[in-house]
Amino acid sequence: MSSKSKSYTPTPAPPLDCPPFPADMLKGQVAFVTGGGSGMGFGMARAFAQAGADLAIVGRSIDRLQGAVSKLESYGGKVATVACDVRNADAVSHAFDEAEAALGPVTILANNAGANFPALAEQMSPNAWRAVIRIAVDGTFLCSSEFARRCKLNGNKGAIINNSAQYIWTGFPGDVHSATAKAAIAHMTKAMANDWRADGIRVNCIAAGFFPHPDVVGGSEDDAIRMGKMFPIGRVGEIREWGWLATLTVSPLMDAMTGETLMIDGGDRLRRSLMHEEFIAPRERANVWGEMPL
Amino acid sequence: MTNTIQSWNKGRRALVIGSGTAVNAIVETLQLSGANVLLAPHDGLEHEQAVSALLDQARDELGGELTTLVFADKVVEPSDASALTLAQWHALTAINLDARFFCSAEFARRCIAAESAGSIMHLLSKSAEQANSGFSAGASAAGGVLTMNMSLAVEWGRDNIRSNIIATHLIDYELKADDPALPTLGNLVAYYSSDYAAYITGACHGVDEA
Repeated sequence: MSSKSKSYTPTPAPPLDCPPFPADMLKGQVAFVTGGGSGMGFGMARAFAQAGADLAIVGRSIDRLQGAVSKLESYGGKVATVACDVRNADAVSHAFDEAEAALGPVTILANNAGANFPALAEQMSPNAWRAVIRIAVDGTFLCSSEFARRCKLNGNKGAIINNSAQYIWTGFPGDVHSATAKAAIAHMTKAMANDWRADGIRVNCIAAGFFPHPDVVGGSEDDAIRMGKMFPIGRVGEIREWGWLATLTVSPLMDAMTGETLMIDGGDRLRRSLMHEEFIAPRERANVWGEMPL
Repeated sequence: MTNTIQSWNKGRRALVIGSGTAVNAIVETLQLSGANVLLAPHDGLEHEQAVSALLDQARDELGGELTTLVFADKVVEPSDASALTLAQWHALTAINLDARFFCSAEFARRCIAAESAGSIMHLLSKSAEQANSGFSAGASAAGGVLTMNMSLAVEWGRDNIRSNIIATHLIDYELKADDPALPTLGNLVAYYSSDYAAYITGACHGVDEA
């Protein structure tokens, strides 16, 4: 018994060429962005660049990073590409060496690298579980601890922003690996904030909703409109507003904030009604994650 | 390096309810970000007629209906729950819970009537997440606001009226005006009140609450 809603016009994100920060706010800072060549990682890297930071964009394949370089360089800062598997401690250490040789000491870390795919828990192979957990949880731990050691050694303050997700408070079927990993990251955020507060290293996290980009379902314009109908706000998130929020957290404007998990999801985390459509067991669904509205 | 905030709230009209150094810092930052601001005390807002009158006053003084509502907890003295009378309990919950709802609903009614977007920010005690002894009424009110915030975010999401919470120790006691954490709180409220946060609703976090 649902009635069709009338047409509403959601407040759009401000345009890309109107960032919320001065173009020199992060001047002189070096940001290390894992998965920074595409999607949400690129969104953070671009927003850091708009605020004047130099960038090390990090990924397993240099080839996948190259396409982002000229776009990021157009904001005037330096950009280095660094190949790294964040699951490997030696590779992480080497990647920081490479980034610092090219750009100087890293003062901002964005832990964005991750993976996700629908999989029912009872059918999930140990390798599928490890594929998600090790990139997100081990990768965030290894990059963060390497970053903190170097900040302490150099006597530098630092800021970390971790990429988490809106479903960490509820989980959802077909996603036990990612829900677990993303919740672990939110708690890691608090623990590391406590460990490093006295050293001037701030650690925060953002639980993000749907920010479609060409690499994911919902990346097309039509999909984005359909998907946007699911949310109380009435649209999907724009990569730029995600990137700007990440930039806010690592900026001097938030000097006193640490250990917090912010949320930007258009209200997706929230329950929409008391009654729901009939519950179908996840294993009986055509799509374990559910279907987008028409 | 320029660390100033930009005109995030240019042309906005904000009512800030509360008092104290943290609230003053929020008012100053909203003004720096371009908003016209009216600061008002909690007095009488547990009565819905006073709420309507205050929003009329804000509209008249700021040159139009409000676009932004900030409601900060009224700090109260600790009191053992076993010693609270019902009248005291009502007085404490009325101002930090009932008044918030009355203000939020009146604000939203006016935004909906004008078909204009709005931002509601609730500034809550840290006891919203970690209730302390001596604050049973305040903690109960804060807990209620946590979920009220989520319900209202859904009810008014399609009207572009957002509702968010900052739950922080910074409003639990009087800070010095130069406390280094206050700019962060002010900046956060100013950012969340702006369209840069148009996709943030139903959220709750603190500043450094660990």
